[in-house]
Amino acid sequence: MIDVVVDGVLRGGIYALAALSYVIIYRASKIVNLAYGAMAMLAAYLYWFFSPMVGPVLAVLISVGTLVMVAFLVERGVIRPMIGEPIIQIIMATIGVAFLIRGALLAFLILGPRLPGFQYQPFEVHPLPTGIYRLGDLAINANFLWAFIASLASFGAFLAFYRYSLLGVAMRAMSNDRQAALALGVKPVESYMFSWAIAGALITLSGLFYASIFGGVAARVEEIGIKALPVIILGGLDSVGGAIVAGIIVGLSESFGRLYLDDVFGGGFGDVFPLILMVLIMLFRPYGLFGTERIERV
Amino acid sequence: MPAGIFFERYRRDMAFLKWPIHYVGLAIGMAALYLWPLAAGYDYLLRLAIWIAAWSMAAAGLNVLFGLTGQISLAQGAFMALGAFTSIWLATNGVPPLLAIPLAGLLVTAVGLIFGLPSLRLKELYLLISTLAAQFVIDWLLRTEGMAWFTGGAYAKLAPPLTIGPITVADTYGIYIVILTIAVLHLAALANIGRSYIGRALKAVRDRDIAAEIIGVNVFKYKLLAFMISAYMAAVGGALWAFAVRSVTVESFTFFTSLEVLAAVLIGGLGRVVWGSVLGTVFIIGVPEAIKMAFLWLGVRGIDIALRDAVFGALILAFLLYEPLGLTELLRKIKERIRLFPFRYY
Repeated sequence: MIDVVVDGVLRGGIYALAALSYVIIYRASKIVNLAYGAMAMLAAYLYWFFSPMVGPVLAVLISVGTLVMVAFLVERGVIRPMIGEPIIQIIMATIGVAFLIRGALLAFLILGPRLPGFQYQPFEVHPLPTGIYRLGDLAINANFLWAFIASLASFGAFLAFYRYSLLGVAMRAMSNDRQAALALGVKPVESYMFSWAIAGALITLSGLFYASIFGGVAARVEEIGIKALPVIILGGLDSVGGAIVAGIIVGLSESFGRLYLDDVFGGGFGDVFPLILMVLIMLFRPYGLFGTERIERV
Repeated sequence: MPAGIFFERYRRDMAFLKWPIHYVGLAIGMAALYLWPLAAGYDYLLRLAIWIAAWSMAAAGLNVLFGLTGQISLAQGAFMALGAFTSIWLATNGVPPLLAIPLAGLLVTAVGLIFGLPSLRLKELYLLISTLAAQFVIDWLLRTEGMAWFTGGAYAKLAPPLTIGPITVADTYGIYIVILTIAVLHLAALANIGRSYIGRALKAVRDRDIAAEIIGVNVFKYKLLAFMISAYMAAVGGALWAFAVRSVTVESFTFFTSLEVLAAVLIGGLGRVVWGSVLGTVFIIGVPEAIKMAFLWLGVRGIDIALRDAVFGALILAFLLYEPLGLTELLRKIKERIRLFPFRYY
């Protein structure tokens, strides 16, 4: 029982980190980035490819750097020219980006390391410590624990940046009221670019942590993009703090769903249980638990 | 003598086939659609055409939901899967295939109704995500062991042959004719929905749902109706596909299918229910195949699928950035340019 709670909470930390990058992008561009999964997979494969050559620290830096560049390019080349278009068109554009990234990654994998496709490849150098910590009866997966700690640390670093740095304040001002922020001299370009760059770095980390759960990289890493959706809905699309609470709720519901409901409804129910929970909560609180309620007028 | 053709009746003014060129175009178009395989005769092209016919049904359904009503859905793939499996199940239990296809559509419509319910309170992004959840939940449901009798589990579910009364349609051309006929009938019906009071109510909901409610449109009813139409069309499309390929697995319709259908609608033209959906489907199915063929012809092997994905993504982006209203708008511009030919607007 306590095992399940620990497992759920630790998983939740990774989901919260994943959700945070959705929230940052939502606050900057008012869209959901559906290229998330492809970007996370790109990051994990880059780490897998470079880590035996240059060691884990440099490999993480390489994949963070690449993903930040990709995020920059996506923002500059696709999202910014489309400002003012219907939201759904922009979301569709992120799906186009996902195809582009996936195709480019596949071409790289075939030409570089000569893989026939997105196959499971175990990490030769793990990004996080592996093994099991024992605390009395309680066995904690070291990988999960460190992923959780690293997620919380990234989360905290981002919150501090968002709250205290000038750029963070500018980003918050832009997301609250674009026009008022512009009138007060916030540079819109800067705050968009940095939002996407930070989101790109966070996508890399969450992709890596999620891949480390499987001990290697596979097409499954793309799932993190879907797993984080219930989190942002529960927490509210524009709530940074909500992401962490909702992340843990989703992690717990997944673990408990897996333990108690898989036998009742059949295998894999734990994976869709958070989605069902999400739809039910949406029916009663469409703007999530912590999201800003929008009032509509004719 | 009047210089031109003038109508004295409102009915004539609103008719689909207004000008003589419409009759000529319809006759030539239909003849071409039914007879081109006799001239070309490639089995590969014929299968591609069947594929396009089935997928454009789902795209047209989504176009009614999204283009006319403004409600986004990413669950078309799941509804196609449900339609395919339901029609196979009905057909193996003795329902004639031609009846099983629309019947499967009607059954799946009930499911579409359930997933339309959240649309009462959710909008845009939130609705997108809730339909995405529907896609994954249905996908999971079809994969569970408990549903193996329905989906064939780990094996493919085989469809009985397509029969019309005592005749069994076995060759690809015959299947194409049957599927094309069903698709054309459905698309004609949808084209008419867009012009009727239902279509006007749907458009009112799309443009401003609160204002629509104030002028007396039952918003919830029409939103549900749009969800039902889109689920029905997707299911019939899936069922047609099932009878065409005769073997369906849960892998045939995935989240990726939903994305493809949505891409077809956006590339073809939102709100242009027939032309937009069909052209968009031709694009999203034909272009990747053409790219793959081109790379094979160029001798690029191994990475042709990777390049196909990348080029396809780039094309979607190019469309959204440079022609956001889609292929139909592009064609309209070309038509306008030809009409004004030596002159042009600046």
